[in-house]
Amino acid sequence: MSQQNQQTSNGSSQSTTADQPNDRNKVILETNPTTKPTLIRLAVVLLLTLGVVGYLQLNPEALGSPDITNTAALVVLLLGLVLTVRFLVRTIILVRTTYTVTNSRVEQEYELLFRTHSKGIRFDKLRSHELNQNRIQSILGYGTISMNRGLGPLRLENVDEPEAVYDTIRTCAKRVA
Amino acid sequence: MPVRGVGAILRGGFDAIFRPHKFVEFQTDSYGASRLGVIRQLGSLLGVYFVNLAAYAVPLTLAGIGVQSSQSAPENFARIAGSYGIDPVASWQLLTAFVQNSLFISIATAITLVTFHVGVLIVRDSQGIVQSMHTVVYTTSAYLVATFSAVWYLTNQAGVSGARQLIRNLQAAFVYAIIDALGAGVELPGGRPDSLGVTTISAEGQWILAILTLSLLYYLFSLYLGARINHRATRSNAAIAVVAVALSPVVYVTGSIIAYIIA
Repeated sequence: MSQQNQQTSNGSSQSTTADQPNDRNKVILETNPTTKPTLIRLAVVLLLTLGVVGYLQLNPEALGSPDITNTAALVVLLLGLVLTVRFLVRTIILVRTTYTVTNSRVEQEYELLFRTHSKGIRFDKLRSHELNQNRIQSILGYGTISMNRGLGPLRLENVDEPEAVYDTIRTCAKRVA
Repeated sequence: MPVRGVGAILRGGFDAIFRPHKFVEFQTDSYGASRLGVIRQLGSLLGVYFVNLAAYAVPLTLAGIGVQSSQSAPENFARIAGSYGIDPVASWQLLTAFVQNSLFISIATAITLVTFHVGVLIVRDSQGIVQSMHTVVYTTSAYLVATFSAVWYLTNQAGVSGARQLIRNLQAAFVYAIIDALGAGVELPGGRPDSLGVTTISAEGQWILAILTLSLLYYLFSLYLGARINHRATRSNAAIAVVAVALSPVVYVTGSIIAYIIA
């Protein structure tokens, strides 16, 4: 689902071209976020919803009275429906999202319902950056790169091979600083 | 680019249901650094709150909920309304009905704001009152309004008597649990319910109960998200802030019982 396209990886050659105005928007790295964790969550939600609703339907007296059990099943069903729609929309957005690192900025962009959503940070305006990976993210090989937290932040979520992307951002940020 | 008009309302509705983290998130890039900035943001939030309050209370009022036809207008109000060519009695009845319809949700909002902010202050994660107010204003405008609407529907509509009885029994059981814990010999007018269960709940009643449960869950979860995102609280600290809000009915009922005993 994800692809990482390291178009330019030689740090020394980038540093010589970074100051040229024509090369300011030269793409160093372009990658798409992975949909793996969202699809796993979607599968878990569907399984749990069907499991709990099925159990409650097969045991009408589980919560005392059939009507109360049925109400509980409705709550689980509605919650499952909301989460399913949420994860489906999230998957569509992730599939259409591109993270781009150029000589001068990091950008996140996706198109949905004929609208383009774009957000970026210039390296000369970058004040902080961090890479976060919890245990599950480490096992599945993805992570979140956060920039300028609390200052109009940019979060690159579900980044596949996050160390490589983070290293590229750090290198570019150092060079501009 | 910010979305405006109908698009903003649709997007707000979508976010409220499917992306509550976006719904309660403080949308400006930086919080007001100066006092003037803070006052401006508070004013803007109050504007959002009153627009949402009106959107909730005006339809109820126009539908005749809370209107007391026997009520007459005070002299001063009648004189001012009369000078503008407005029927003083009808306008006074509508005004009092509007205030009454807004009152409970306004009190609930105020209690939520105080307990939520005290909660984030206790865990030392507070980023300021504006962030708390932003969280509570948006939480109230969607989830608490949904909760109140569901309760209002249960109270006023025919065909949901089973669900109504279940809610009343739950409320009575909650109050009696506190009465028993305090050892106070107080009785509610309706007496102690024998059991929580009711014989039948109609399909409509089941749907309303499900929506009521979900809106309460959303309400608490959005407060948790508000603490996490707007106050940058840790998971445990955000949970403590939510517990502070969830405990407010216990504090309110305990205070009422103690006040009743003393009086």
